Amino acid sequence: MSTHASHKKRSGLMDWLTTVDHKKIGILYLIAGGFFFIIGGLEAMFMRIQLFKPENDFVAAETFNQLLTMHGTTMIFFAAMPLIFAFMNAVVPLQIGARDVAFPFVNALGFWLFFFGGVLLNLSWLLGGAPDAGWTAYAPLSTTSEGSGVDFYVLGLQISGAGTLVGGINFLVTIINMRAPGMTFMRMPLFTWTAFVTSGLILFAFPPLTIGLFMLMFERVFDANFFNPDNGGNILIWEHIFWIFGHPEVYILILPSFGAISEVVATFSRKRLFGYSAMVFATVLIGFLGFMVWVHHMFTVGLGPVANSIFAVATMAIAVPTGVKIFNWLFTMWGGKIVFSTAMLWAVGFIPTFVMGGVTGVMLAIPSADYQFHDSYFVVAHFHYVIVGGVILGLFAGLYYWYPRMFNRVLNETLGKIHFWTFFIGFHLTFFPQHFLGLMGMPRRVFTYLSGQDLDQLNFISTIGAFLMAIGTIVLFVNVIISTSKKYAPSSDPWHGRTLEWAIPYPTPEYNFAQTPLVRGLDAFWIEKAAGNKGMTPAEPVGDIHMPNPSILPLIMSIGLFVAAFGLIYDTMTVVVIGMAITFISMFFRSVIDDHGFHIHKEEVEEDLKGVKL
Amino acid sequence: MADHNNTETNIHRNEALQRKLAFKEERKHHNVSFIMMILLTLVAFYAIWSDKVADSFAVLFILVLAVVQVFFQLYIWMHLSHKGHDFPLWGMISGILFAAITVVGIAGLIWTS
Repeated sequence: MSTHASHKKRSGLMDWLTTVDHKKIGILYLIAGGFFFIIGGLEAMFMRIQLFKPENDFVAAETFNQLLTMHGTTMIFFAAMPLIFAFMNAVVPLQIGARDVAFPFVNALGFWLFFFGGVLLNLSWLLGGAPDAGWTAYAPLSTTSEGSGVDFYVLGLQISGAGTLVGGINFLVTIINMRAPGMTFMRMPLFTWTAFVTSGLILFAFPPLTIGLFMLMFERVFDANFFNPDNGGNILIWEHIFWIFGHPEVYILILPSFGAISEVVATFSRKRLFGYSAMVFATVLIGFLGFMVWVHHMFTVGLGPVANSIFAVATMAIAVPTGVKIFNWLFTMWGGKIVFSTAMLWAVGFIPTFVMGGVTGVMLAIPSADYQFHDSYFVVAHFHYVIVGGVILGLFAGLYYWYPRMFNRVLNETLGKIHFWTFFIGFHLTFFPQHFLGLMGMPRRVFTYLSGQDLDQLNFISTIGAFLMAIGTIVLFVNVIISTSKKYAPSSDPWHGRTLEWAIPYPTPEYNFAQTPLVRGLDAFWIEKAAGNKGMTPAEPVGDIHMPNPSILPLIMSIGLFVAAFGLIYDTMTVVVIGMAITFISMFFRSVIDDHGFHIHKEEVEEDLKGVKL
Repeated sequence: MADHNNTETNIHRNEALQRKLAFKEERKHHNVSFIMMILLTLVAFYAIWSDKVADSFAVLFILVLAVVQVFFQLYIWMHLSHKGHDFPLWGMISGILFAAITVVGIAGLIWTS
């Protein structure tokens, strides 16, 4: 292919399978993450139906174990993670004034690895039973689990983990190197900052997971003895490695939500974010402290009072930067001209909900009290308050806020508000009673309970709440479907946006910015609007724009690993060899074939610019 | 006008001279570190090869030498001290920090309890 030839346009399915455009990959992440969110949600519904009355027999005990394992694993790795990557892809390059991420090919590879990891894990339902050792897969439960369920867990997470890792590295490189002229670090929008810190956490937290999963795989597939005390191993090694990954992982999830909330609160209060530099510092500090607290998941293991105290203090310290953030959001709203759009409702609902999750977090950080709370429904209530009440509420705020940018149409506000109120009330109805269930002694991960222990009523309320959340989610999907059927382009700048992504015309051009913008301060677009300018001041003349070529190779590489995983699960080395061969051959082609991309010519860009009215 | 040109050429000459000096300085560093690295390798080899050095000491000793070698490699040969290496430096320091916490944490908590 000649380097300067204009590109051939692909259409339909092939376009989506070969795309390396960050905007399209963002949409792919959103759809795939939404799909797994539904699956994880269904698993949750089955569990709540099973628990709605004592000694129910809706599902068997073994099935319940599989449901709770798959619910946790799916929601963390295959719903929350891709939804975060969806917004990072859709928004970060636009917010920093870049035309794409640093490595578009690797970006596509990251998506397909995640996707096939998720598909592999969920196929276990159809192939002899899902994993049943909990999403934490503690040894020896996981090492001795019958069937191949845990093998699906190990390999599914291994493949998708590789995708997440390359994605994280990609965003680090993008944010460091591809900021527009004038976009210094302390002028970056807060969502980009949180994406940056999250990517750093991914870089340091996922390698331990990879190692841990390899050890678990060797233990199960090749009879190694890392976690087998009979042969000199130690089961605690898994717990340590898992939580050294697992604790930063929860900050990986929450930080981008904090970022989205910061954007939404500032935009709909019509004010500059209060305490921007304190927010940045708090974000970095949370990321840093996130690596020093993993033992608070293991207080009852018996590591001794010294270890427990050190990690308890470190854990409580995290409440300080998080509190700084909460106050800064409140001060941003204080005296602002608040518009209660749907996105803002989610953001406002997020604040008290997340504070409640944070308070129970500090309670759990007290080792002596944790002996009482450990493995009870109190813990379930706590982490749902921070993950649903924190991460998911933030992601919904981001969805309503950035939907016009991603899909060139707005979501219906009335349906959005119905979604918010049903989901929000349903959420508190589901999880607030679970605090008390835990304090009354109901252990987590049990498939049923006896009547006459005062557990009936609260469990019943909890199940009702879960149905309300399901109704809310259905309303969201109705809203999305209605929006696709309507041919509606938002007016330019639907929310009176402050940051660069709102300076682009609709629909977003393939090259994002016809001319790289010049950034003159924090809230770059707002500054230009306040100065009476119609758009951003360009930092370069109109010229040819270099674009990457689409490629099918990321998809094929991921399929290769997917095939190899089946070989490992069913102990057939030929299939492993075939799968790895597919991956390595596509890597070989990627290495030897020169791919210079193509140029969008100056004339085309000028043509596009003529049609733009801002 | 001529005077102005003169100053400009002088500045250019000065810059060129400074670059040359910096280059010379760097070459000196390279030479010194090259010899040092070979010497350190020989010392490490001798520590293991010789019977006069106790094995328990030798292992620790060559680990220390290895750390020194890493610093030579990073700072002299990979120019970590030069401008524009802030991010690689931050990345490496935080990576080493988190790795150290992990290793010390796991080792300390598992094998002492």
